[in-house]
Amino acid sequence: MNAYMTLEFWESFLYTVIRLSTPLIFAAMAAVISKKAGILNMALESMMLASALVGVVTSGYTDSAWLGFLFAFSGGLLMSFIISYVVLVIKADLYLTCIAINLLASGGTVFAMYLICGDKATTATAFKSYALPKVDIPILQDIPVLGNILSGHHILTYASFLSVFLVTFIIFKTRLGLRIRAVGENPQAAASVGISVNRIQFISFVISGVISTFAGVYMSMGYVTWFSRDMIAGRGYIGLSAMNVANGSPLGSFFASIIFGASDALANTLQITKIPVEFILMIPYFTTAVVLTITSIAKQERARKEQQLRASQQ
Amino acid sequence: MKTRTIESGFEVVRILTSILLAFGLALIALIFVSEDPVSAIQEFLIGPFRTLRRIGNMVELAIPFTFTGLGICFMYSANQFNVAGEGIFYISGCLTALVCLNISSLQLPPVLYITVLVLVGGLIGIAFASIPALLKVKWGVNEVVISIMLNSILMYLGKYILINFMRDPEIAYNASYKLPQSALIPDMIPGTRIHWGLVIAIAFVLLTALIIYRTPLGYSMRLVGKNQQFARYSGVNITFAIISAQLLGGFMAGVGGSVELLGMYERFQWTNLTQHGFDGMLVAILAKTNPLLVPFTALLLAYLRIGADLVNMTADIPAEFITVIQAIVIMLVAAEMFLVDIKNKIIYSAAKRKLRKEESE
Repeated sequence: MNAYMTLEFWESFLYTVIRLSTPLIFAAMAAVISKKAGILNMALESMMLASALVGVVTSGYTDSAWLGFLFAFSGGLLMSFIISYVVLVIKADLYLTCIAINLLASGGTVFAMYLICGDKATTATAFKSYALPKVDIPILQDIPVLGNILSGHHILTYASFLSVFLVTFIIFKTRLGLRIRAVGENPQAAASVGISVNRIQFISFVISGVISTFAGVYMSMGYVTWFSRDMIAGRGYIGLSAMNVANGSPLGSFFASIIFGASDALANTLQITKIPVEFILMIPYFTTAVVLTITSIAKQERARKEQQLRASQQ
Repeated sequence: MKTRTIESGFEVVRILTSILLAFGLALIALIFVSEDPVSAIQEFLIGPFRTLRRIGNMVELAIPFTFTGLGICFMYSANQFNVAGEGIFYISGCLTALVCLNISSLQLPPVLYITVLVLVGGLIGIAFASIPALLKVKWGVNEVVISIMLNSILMYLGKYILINFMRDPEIAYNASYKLPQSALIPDMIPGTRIHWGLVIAIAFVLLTALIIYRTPLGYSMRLVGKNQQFARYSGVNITFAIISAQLLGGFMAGVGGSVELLGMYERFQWTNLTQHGFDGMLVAILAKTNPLLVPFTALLLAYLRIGADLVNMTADIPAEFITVIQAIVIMLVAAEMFLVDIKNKIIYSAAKRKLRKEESE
């Protein structure tokens, strides 16, 4: 056990936590924007998958990581447009559409990958692709311990921290944010004062798609430098759960994402122990299910207490 | 024409349009991707009917689709989006094999042996479907997220059981010991691998239809699915209806996993989720959650799949394009407003005609 007590161990563990939390933070922020507009966006998975593939492929063709990043937005946005059309225009059930779109992205990316590089499992063998750079933060990197944990991350990791502030700002400090919240809280009331509910929800899907693209690109051009089939592996759903756990608050969702990232890091670390690897790989999914359940219980308790309070006041 | 006739007729047209549109998309994909589109399309459309063996393949494939489709029929009739069927199908196959190997010393007669195993599969389905179901009714936890997480957990659990409790070390890949011959569901039609699971499937189709359309439970499930508020005011026990729908759905997926394993395999050798749960979704939605239509939509999906596999083999086009088509059909069929303009126009002109007729009289 001594190996777990050293400073180096904790430094690298916490570094891994941040590394693994990054896609979850983006996914959670994408979920927050949708949630505030009254939509439980379970299609994040598809947006992340599509953008991850487009990013890798276009970076390979253009020999530029940044151009790949730029093109990747088309993947995320394409999914946003499809889901907006199906849910808002031709009015299919939201849950069903999200499940179907994730299916579409899962099969579609494998199909496209095979056509492009003749491999159904991964682009790694057939394709040279690029990663976005890692960044050392001046001053911070020289601080002992803290520097090793917080500096030297992928550039999008820092972007994920910024996204929390950006999403908070959009939601609470802009006209658009006010409208989004109005639509989310009471669509009829919002419509009665002339806000187009469909338009606002469409915009929220688009923002969601843009943020998810960061997550997708991080996965395929940072976390690893290739695309492999179903590589998002439930991270969209886990990010959504992080949002759900925090009741849609951006900062709370951020912390919840870190907790889920930590469970993922724990799984990574435990792989050197004797615990069967299958159980270790379950940890992130299991944690998500358990935390989601606990917070749902807490939420219901709170609601019940409020109700009792109201009843006793009358 | 009465509005109601127009509406029900239109529903059929709408579903057919969705399917045709999907076929169109598939053909366009083939034309763009294939070097020899004519033969690829031929293979895709006619290939599955070319030999008796392939026709057999379609029926074999339709059997598990029918079971998972029936499972989703239960879920969706009460508007529940528990998608644990995917994981349940897998784990049920796994645990069926485990139980099968462990009770082989009892020397049960084949019919009893198979019955026991299929019921074990069903019970496993109920057990695992109960997790999202209970969490949902007790604490309002979103059943989609929980069931998706559950699917991943069940996959790893199944792999663990396979590798640690029943892996045959004499085989190069991960597979269980050979299941005893008396536990396997025998073939039914010579020249194909169609097995008696087909009969089991049809029996469950009838049973499902009976439960959904002819029992108080089925009625309350449908009522909850159509309008939960109304169901509550009518005194329906909503909790019970929701739980029953999800448990029965899990049961069907579980039975499906068992039947598929015992009918088509000699060892348990699935090392990944099988996609059958999501396939069941398409099957059920195309059938408009009517169990009696499920076998036919299952056959349709099987036809698409076999066609795609053939194209995959001969023309080197990945069969995954069918998944894309599947997703598109699900969305179009589920879309309330798809083609609704045309429907309204027909209803409007029919009403106008009627009015004019009345005026002239």
